Amino acid sequence: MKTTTPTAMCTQCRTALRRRLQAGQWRPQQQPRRALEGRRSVSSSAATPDLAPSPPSSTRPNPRDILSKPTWSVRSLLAPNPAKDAASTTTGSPAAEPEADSDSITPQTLHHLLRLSALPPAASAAEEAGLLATLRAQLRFVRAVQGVDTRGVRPLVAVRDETAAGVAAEQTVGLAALRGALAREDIVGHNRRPRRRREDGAAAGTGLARTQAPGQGKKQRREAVAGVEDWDVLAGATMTAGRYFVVRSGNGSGSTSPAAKGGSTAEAVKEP
Amino acid sequence: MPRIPVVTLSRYLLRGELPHRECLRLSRPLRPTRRPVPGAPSLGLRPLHSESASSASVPASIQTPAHVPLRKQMKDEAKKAKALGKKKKKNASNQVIEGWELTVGIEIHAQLNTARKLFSAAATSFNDDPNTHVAYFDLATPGSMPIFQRETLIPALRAALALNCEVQPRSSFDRKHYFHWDQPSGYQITQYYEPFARDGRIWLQSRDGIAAEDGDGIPVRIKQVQMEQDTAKTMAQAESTHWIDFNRTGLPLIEIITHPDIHHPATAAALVRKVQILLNAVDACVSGMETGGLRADVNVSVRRTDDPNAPLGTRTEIKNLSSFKAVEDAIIAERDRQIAVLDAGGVVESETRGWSIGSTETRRLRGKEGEVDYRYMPDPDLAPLVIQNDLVNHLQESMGQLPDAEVDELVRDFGLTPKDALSLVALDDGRRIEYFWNVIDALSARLGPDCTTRLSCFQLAANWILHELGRLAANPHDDASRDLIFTSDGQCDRVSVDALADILHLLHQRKITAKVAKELLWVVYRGIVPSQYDSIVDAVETENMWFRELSEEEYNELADSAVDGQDGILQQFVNYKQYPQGKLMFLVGRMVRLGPEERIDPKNAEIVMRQALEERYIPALRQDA
Repeated sequence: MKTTTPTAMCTQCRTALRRRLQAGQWRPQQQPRRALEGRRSVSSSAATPDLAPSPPSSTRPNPRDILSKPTWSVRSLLAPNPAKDAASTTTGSPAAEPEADSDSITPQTLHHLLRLSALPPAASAAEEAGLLATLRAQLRFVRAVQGVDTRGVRPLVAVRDETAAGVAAEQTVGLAALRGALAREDIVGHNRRPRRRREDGAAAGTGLARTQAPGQGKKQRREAVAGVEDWDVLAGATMTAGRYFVVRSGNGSGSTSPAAKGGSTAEAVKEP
Repeated sequence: MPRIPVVTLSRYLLRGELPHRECLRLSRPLRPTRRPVPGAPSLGLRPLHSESASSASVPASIQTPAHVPLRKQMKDEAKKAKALGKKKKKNASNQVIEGWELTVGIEIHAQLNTARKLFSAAATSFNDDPNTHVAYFDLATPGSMPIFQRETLIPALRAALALNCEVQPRSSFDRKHYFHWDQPSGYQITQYYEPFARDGRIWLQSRDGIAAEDGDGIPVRIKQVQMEQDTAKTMAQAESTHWIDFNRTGLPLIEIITHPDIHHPATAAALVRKVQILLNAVDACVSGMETGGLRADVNVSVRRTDDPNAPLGTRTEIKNLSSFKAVEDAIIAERDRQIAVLDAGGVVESETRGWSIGSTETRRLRGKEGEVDYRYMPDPDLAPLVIQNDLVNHLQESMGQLPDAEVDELVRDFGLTPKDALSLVALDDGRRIEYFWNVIDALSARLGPDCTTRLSCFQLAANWILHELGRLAANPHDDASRDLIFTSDGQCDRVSVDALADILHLLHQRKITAKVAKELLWVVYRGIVPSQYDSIVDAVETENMWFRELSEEEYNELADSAVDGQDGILQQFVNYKQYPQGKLMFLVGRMVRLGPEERIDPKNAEIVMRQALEERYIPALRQDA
């Protein structure tokens, strides 16, 4: 993605921000429907004025300005205080509340869930009340997250640095990265075809390099790649035969039989 | 058969006399024996096509019509049947079944030629000691993570570029889940949603061995090329015991998926063969089907040809085909099976089938109910791959000349037939063609820049390198058991480039005859030239083998002597429907036999004889007549 100024925002955040800005002026009280937005932070300091520089004179909203002041806090969704719960309902989005009311956790449900989870039941009424409140708050949080509109947003596969600089550093492969490998090739023949130089000493041929059928010919012996191959591969096997792992298919299970390291077994190789 | 007395027999054979002591209506029918009696000139058994005017054919009355030999009988019957039109037309081609259209799509898995595996830094190997090149990630050891080895992109991109694909700037890796002991992690990392190359094309030509019904050539579109991991090697030992070697786990493979553009079995086999040649030429996959480096799975479906808009029939997949012939045979067998099922009114099920060499029908491996749900998901441990254009451009430019272009160059610049060009390129794994180019260079140096007959000299070189050199090694009388070995840079120990160039140059200049040239080649092969003679020219000089051709008058004298006493043949040249070339060559042969053979060039002798016939002998005959 081409940007004129280097920025630390990824594409998803940009899209979300742009959409929000285009939806209207930034007014915390007026945000409908979205549980995340418009919540006044309980712990935020007194002055919570309009955050966005809403005057029409600024054509480009400054991301730094927008992000410098938090608009909500997790605690707004996890309010354990029922009074605060009630207070927030008047200012907050109406959409979230009916959901909480319709399938709120009853004490019976709580007992059922505790039994299913093999957890001990509540010792006292106070503890039970505490468990109920916690559970309700957690569910409110989860529903709020589920209520976010994700149309057009690609599902997250992994948390990665997806900025231009990050992609360039970690994911991009260019000519510079492969110069070393390309230098380990010879240009062979009248056709000027590149051929990889092989470590086992075989000359870079022009034709099919392996012409032997498997199982024939002397087995090659090469140095183990340090740090990668120099560990005891067969140590964790329950059954081995020489240098092979042994697997028993069918009904006779070999997984419980003790490790039986065979001696020099004839390795009659037959490709299946 | 009762014994006939020798006296009777000899009288009959030598004099044609029937025994008359008995009644003519013999109790034992006397038949002329077919076998020639030893010692007696076979009067009645002379070959019928003899030219001798005094041939005495067996009188017809002696031939008994009762016994007609079997061969004659069958021939007569065949002739009768043909005349009646009842003879069945031999269906030499099994590529097409009337009324049905075959559709084939192919998936090819090829092992990439890399130093390291795809997601671990362990080394690739072919036949090393088992379980010696295994990294933690290859065994799915808990806590191990995949690390994409960037060098594997080089052969992968080259393969995609050789197949004319568009390299996708962004591609990602996905997990394909299924359980098998040769896949320790329970999933194979592949590129299902975003492969690294799409939309390619291969051009198959008639010289690649496609079915005759495909004409001059067809393009086959490539749907995508993707990178994926290989599995472990399993060796079945006893009944239910398997030995596993994890050296091969995690080896980089590319999967090439074609669109269903193929409609004949031979074309499918030709496609797989051509892909193998292409991948080998760009150093992407250097082990072929025979060694297990390349595997093909084919998808086969049939539909009737009467409705062109009908949808494609249900397809079945045939897995694990390991030779080109197996590809063709399996497709033919599966097509026949599907047609039989549909003709009988059944329904073709979408299933996975297998083929073993030598069988006549595919066998079912897995039905629809056994279909695995692979639960494809993007692999969260691997970042998406972003390939930059400079790398792609560099690899495209440095690929060298591809096999098609090479064969085209040979056909265009040297006038070789496509078949000869393909043989030359394929012989000795590509080393013979290198030798050929070296010989061409040597000949160019000898011929000089302003030679007008270069092409014929080069064609002579191509002919010799293709055929004569092969004859040397094939001769069983050679005492030395060393083979004719070519190195990868086109040199040969036994027949050096310079020696062959010398011989060909002398032959081209007609300073030696072809026979002498072949002798010299033999001498070089035996090593006599460097040991006993200094060079080819030296050898020719010493043995006095220069071609001193006869002069024109000498040729004419020889022609005169050859024609002497051959009036019968000369008569055939007087009035003829078609020029009797055979008779001419007979006379030329006579010339060669009568004259000094090593000084005669048969072509010139033929020209002289033809001329002489026209100018002297035939007019002379006409005057006499």
